[in-house]
Amino acid sequence: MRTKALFILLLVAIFAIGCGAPSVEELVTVNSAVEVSKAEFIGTVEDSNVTVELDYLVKNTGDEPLTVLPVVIPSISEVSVNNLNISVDDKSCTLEGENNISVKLPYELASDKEMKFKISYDLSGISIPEQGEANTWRLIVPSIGNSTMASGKDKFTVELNVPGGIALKSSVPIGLNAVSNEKIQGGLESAPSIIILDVQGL
Amino acid sequence: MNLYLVFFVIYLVVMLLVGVFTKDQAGKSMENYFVASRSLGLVVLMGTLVGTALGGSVTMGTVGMAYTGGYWNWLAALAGALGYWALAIMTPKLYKTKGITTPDILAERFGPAARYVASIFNLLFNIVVVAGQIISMGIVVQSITGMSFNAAMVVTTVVFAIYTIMGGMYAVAYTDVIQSVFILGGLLYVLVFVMAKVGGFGNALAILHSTAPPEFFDLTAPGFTFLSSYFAYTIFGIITMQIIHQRIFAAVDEKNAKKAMYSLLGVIVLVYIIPPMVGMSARVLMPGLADPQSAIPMMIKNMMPPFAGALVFISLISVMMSTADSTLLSLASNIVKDFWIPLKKETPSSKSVVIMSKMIVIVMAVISLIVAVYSKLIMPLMVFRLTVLAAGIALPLLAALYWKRVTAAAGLVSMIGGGASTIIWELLKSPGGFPSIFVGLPVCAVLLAGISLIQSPPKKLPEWLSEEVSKKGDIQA
Repeated sequence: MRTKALFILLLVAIFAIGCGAPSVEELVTVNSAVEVSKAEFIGTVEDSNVTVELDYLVKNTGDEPLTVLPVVIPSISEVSVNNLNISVDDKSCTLEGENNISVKLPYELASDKEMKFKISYDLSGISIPEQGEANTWRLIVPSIGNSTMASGKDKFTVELNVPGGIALKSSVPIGLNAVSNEKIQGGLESAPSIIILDVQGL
Repeated sequence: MNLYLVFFVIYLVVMLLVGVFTKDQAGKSMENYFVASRSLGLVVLMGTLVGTALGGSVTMGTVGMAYTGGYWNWLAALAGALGYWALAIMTPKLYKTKGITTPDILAERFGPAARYVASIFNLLFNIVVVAGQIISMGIVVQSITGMSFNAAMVVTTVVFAIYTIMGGMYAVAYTDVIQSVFILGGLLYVLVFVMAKVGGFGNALAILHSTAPPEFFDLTAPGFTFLSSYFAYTIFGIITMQIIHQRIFAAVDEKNAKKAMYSLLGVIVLVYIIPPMVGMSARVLMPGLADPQSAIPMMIKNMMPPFAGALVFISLISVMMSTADSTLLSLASNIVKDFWIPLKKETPSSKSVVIMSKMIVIVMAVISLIVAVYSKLIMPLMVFRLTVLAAGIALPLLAALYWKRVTAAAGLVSMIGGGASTIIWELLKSPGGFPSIFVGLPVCAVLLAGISLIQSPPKKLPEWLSEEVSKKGDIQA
């Protein structure tokens, strides 16, 4: 009897929790006015540091001109982001915030217009594997908040320069390959928020 | 031949061998064939319950839903766990009925017409379940081994149909035990693999917080209407599941049946946590998947070491095959026990019942395969069938088991009223967005209670209820 009462109580509690939540329509509506037409990630691994340059071609698909863009930098264990710089068409921008950065654009981006949006930063916490040792590198990729990626293959290209004597064992996202002992490359259909590479020292 | 195909062939051969070894035991009588002569002990019962309860929708389906929808899928998992909790509470009573099919219970209280109505509900909607599992197996085998979709569906159907034909409930239960080991092992490996890749679930969430919409982290995001209807049709739908009832009927005694059901509940509480975690982490590893349900097959093919990937592939096939075989046998039991035997003028011999049962399994397997090949409406129908069963069968079944006052007419009319009103509401495309389950369930409840209270109480009660009356009488005396 006690079990049955507990069961009914739990059921009532769950239904009560459900009150006041947003509708399914609200859930599936994507509020986006920015489209990333093309993106290029170029990284160089040196010691325990990775220098990254991330070039986005951004289009204002909304009706209003854009003056501010949000940039989100995931905060994960082991890896930290340093020396962050953002520029638009080579003009430096003012940044506010730490992980959820608000970028004040140097000029208004009119509706249907494109701009070159560059993010450069360093990642620390990557360790180079010794001979025979295996390591996993987790490279953070900042994203432009509320943006969508234009569909199509190779919209997001990745190039990573690594020290010699390292073999790539596996990669996520799929589509990244070791094209030489010192270079990992690939073209992706969507923007990753993290690049995970399993590497081994030769 | 690639490694995946080698594992697949070995697995299919082992499943067929189980059918061969259980053939003699199953062929003795209808009770042997459909409920393993009520002889299943705790370990086999637990294995077959886990294998049967964890189907493609719980694993691949939930992974896909969590990939897209996020946190609320834990709440969805809770609905499933509550449904099995309700069934665990009902287990002693279900066992006492000594039924072979669920309509046996309903027929005992509400007369032969109730048997036909409940059986038709089961037949129509459970063919969809078998077909759904066949399609899922076809997708997985095709994507991993490269075999053609239709060939993959035919091969898997032929194998689970053959061992079910040969060994009936014995074969289904013993293959379920093997399959449940693969299912649990595979799910745990996938969880560990994904967590190792992202560097822990905390990392996955940190990344998701920067990329997913805020609703992704809201446990109640789909809203009260959606969630309450989801809970209603899941909990009441699970209560009506004949494939679980038949495992309770097949237990060696009531104590073992109860223990096995509560063990299943424990496993389900643990296991239901995994697919949402895997789905959400998969969104980090593979953003922008066109079909999020394919997340695990994508990992097997592109990320996992081949040997481990092959074992996870087998565990995915096990998930689907263990549900397909149980439902196929369940369908055959409805036709034989609820239609063929009652409509025959003379009681058929044990031998002819078993032969007919095997023939019906073949026919049902062929029909399910045809539905799988030609129907594109399987997945929406999977949800719809649970709603109709929940609205039409759940309350009459509970009343049949627990309410002495319920009358035969009330039981029959409420089943038809609950099921039909749900179907009509769905055909009208749910006016005002009001879920059909909240139309069907009240209609069923009002008819059940209203007619029962107007009529005189039933004079004769089945053994499982009259036993209680006599016990209470003894105490009073």
